[in-house]
Amino acid sequence: MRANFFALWCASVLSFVTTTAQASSWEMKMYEHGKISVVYWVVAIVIIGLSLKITLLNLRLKKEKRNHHS
Amino acid sequence: MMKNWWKWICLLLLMYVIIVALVVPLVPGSESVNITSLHPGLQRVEITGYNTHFVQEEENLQCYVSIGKTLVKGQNLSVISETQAAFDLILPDTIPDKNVGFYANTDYDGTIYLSTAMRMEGFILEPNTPWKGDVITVKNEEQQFFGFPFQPNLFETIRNLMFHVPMWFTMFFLMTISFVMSIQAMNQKPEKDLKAAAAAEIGLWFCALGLITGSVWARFTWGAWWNKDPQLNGAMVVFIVYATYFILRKSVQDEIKRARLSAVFNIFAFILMILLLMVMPRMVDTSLHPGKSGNPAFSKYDLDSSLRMVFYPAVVAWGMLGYWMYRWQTKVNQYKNEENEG
Repeated sequence: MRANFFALWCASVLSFVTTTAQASSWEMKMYEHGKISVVYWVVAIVIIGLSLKITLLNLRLKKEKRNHHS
Repeated sequence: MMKNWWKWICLLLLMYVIIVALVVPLVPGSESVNITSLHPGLQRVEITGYNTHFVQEEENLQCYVSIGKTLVKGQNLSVISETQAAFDLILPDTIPDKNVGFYANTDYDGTIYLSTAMRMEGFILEPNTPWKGDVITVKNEEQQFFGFPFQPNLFETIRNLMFHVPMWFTMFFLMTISFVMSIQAMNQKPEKDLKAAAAAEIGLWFCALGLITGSVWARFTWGAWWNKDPQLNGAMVVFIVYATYFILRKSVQDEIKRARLSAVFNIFAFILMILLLMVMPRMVDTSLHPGKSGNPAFSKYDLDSSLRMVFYPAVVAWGMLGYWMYRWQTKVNQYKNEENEG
């Protein structure tokens, strides 16, 4: 479970960082109109929103497991 | 590793969706022209494209205007930039039609087209008039590279399709699981209530993300964060109804009673969700939302499969993630329930 969580978290952060870093150069080259920024906002909301819920789930699961074993 | 194969597929699909959705460029399109009216005689027209390559393709650039079914060639063509070109248009006094369209064509970009309302000043309309000016033949109509469709009111935001819409698909998927579990919970299986609650909790999270991303997109496309739209209001009511489901659960202490009451409410909420999101927006004529009130959904007016190559994997990937989170939430609920019982 921990490995899964870690993989998911890494994938989310990595994809967000990669695409955002790459995106800033596209804006300079191709998307000078700036309309792509709306897409970055949407992607960021989805990734941060789901990462937040996954983190909360993981913390709650750890807590419940600890309480269950003690 | 083998046990979790579907989780790895989910992660790979998510990576594919996020990267491809942002990397693939839009196909060239036409943004605007510099005139709002046409008159007989000579007129200079400047056409502005999007993602076009006018400088690179200057040799074979053609610009023309359609008057009804006739294509009129632009004269004295000059390229201003990669996205701007100007040409002279000579129109006679008598024209067969008042419907006008502006085109630019290169081998690399294909044909870009702009249909816009024009004031037609000083023309005599004769539907059967034969055209006397230069008429052009189109060489190439498709662009030579892969890209997402260009929609004049959406531009780059068409990519949001891979993030906003699957949030709702996933919500529907999870709420359906919750509905089925609630029916089982009513049918002498109260333990299923925990699964129903887990699916609804994750579904509600996806619903919230769908509402927020939709609002951000609406601000760009419609110019407002929220509209009095049956689809939008229906989605908000669904969110509130499912939020109420959790208030109801917190207010009942007895496990069996809570399972039964929650199951009844959940079945009611699911039916309401179908009515508010699937039925009612299609019954009114005022919805701005694509796919509702006769507005075409994306599949109708794109007419190419480039979006589908990412959209279908996106629906599967976000759905799998939702299911993964639901299983996680179920474990949390079960531990908590055992703790409360103990």
